[in-house]
Amino acid sequence: MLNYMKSECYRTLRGKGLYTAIALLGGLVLCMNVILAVSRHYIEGFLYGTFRFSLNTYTGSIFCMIVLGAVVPACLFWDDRRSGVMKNAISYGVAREKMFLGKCIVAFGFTFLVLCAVLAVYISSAYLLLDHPEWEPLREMLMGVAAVLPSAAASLVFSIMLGCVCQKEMTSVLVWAVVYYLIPMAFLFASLKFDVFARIMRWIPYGFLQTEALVSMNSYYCLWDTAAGFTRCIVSGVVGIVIFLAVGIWKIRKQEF
Amino acid sequence: METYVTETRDLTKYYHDFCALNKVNISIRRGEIYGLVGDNGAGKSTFLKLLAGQIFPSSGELQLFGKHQQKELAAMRSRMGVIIENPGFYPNMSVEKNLEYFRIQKGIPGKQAIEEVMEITGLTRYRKKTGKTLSLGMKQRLGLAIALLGVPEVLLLDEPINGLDPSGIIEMRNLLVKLNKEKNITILISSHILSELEQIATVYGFLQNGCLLEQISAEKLHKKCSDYVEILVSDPEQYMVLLEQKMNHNDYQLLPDGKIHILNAKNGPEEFGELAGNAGIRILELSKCQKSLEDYYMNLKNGGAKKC
Repeated sequence: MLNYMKSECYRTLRGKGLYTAIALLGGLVLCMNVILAVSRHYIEGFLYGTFRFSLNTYTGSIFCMIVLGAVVPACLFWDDRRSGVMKNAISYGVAREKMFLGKCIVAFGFTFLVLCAVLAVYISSAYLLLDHPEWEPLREMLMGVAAVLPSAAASLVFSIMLGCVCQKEMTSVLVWAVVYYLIPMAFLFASLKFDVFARIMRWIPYGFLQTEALVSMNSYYCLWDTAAGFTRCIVSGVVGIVIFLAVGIWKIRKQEF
Repeated sequence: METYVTETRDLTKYYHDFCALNKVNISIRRGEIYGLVGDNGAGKSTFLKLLAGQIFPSSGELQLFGKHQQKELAAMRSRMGVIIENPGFYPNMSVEKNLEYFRIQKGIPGKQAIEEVMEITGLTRYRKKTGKTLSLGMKQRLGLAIALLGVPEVLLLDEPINGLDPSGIIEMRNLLVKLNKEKNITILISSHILSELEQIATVYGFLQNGCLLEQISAEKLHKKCSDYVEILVSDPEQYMVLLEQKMNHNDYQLLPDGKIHILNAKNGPEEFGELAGNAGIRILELSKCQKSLEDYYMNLKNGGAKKC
């Protein structure tokens, strides 16, 4: 497994995917802060050119971390099946479950690297370009990142599992969307009527990030600011990782290439 | 050291209700070049995929280097090099980087291994070209180079000369023979091009509809591909009657083009020519021939169609 991981690290570092992801995402957040700064400068009474607003934008839409947890490894690994490289690894004797675990570990490492790089660009550009840099919104944002990181990792594991077992990329995308969006959305509506769904939603990322992470210009309430809420985020993510790892290993052991 | 690098016992594979491989028993000795012969859909690729671990058998046993437990098989596969269907590599990476990727994955120390396989397969001057810009023949060579990394003890090759030009076919053939002779690499090669297999294989396995019709050494096959007399006369029907009545010989085949193949002939071609001449039948062609692998295979197939 170690050799497999080394080879995947070699390929990722020498490919364009990783650097393209950092450039695109970093460029996007830089662009956003530049637009805010320019607007602050040229539009009278523009209230949104502040450090707090910029960081709260991310904190309030932190579900994007879970989406990126699925997208970044997809960009790194989805060519594997189509190019026939996975079957080579199996033919050489790399066990299927070790290949899957190796991919998860390498993908997590590089996705975390992308996250750190993009956050560095985000925070530093907001600090340099925008008004009133302060510690509090930064603390809230970093707490949010720490709380949602396990859930993003679970999304990553699920994405890799789908990449290994699904023949087509579109199938993987649809299944991911159903599990992470459609089913939770259905549960959310059902929770308005039935209490049991409300209790389930407290443990599903889409559920607690939609209802318990409310950030705006005038208010801030995030569940991870309390010990109980932070623990719930972590436990939800860890349970997701365990479940998807177990399902992934079970599925890939039976997978034929 | 094991005598057999691979053995299968009643190896069977079903894809839903379709039987792709039916109780196949194949044994491959160390140092052999095993030619697996069969039409499209005969089960050749399925057999190779089972050996490579890409698919799982429905029943039966598979042994590699004397081991048959699942975990042991995975370890044994590291001693094999494989190309099945398309060679797998990253199209956006160069030849050199693809080989480096697989070298690291296989845990082979030293970059010298890459230089060696590039030289063996003639890829040295294409090292910087990306996979997607390679011609079909070059892609096959890259696949072979990847399979050769780490000097495997066994090579599993599924139609490796597909897409190669005539000089490429000759080079591939010579390379495989060289690898077998100099490095004692056992080779299992499947191919439709029987004439090419004929030049290198030391053992043959004939597959049809998932069944193994016969497993035979090249030596025995050569003996079985006996001589025959080929004759073309102006009146084939009358000639065949004469063959049976006058020479008491009924082991012959009438081909669509009117030629008659007289099999297992104890008499020489002159005597068969005399038979026609004495009856006033004009002889258009007369020669002594040897049955080719293709003829042998066609006869085997027609007989085997009843078994499978």
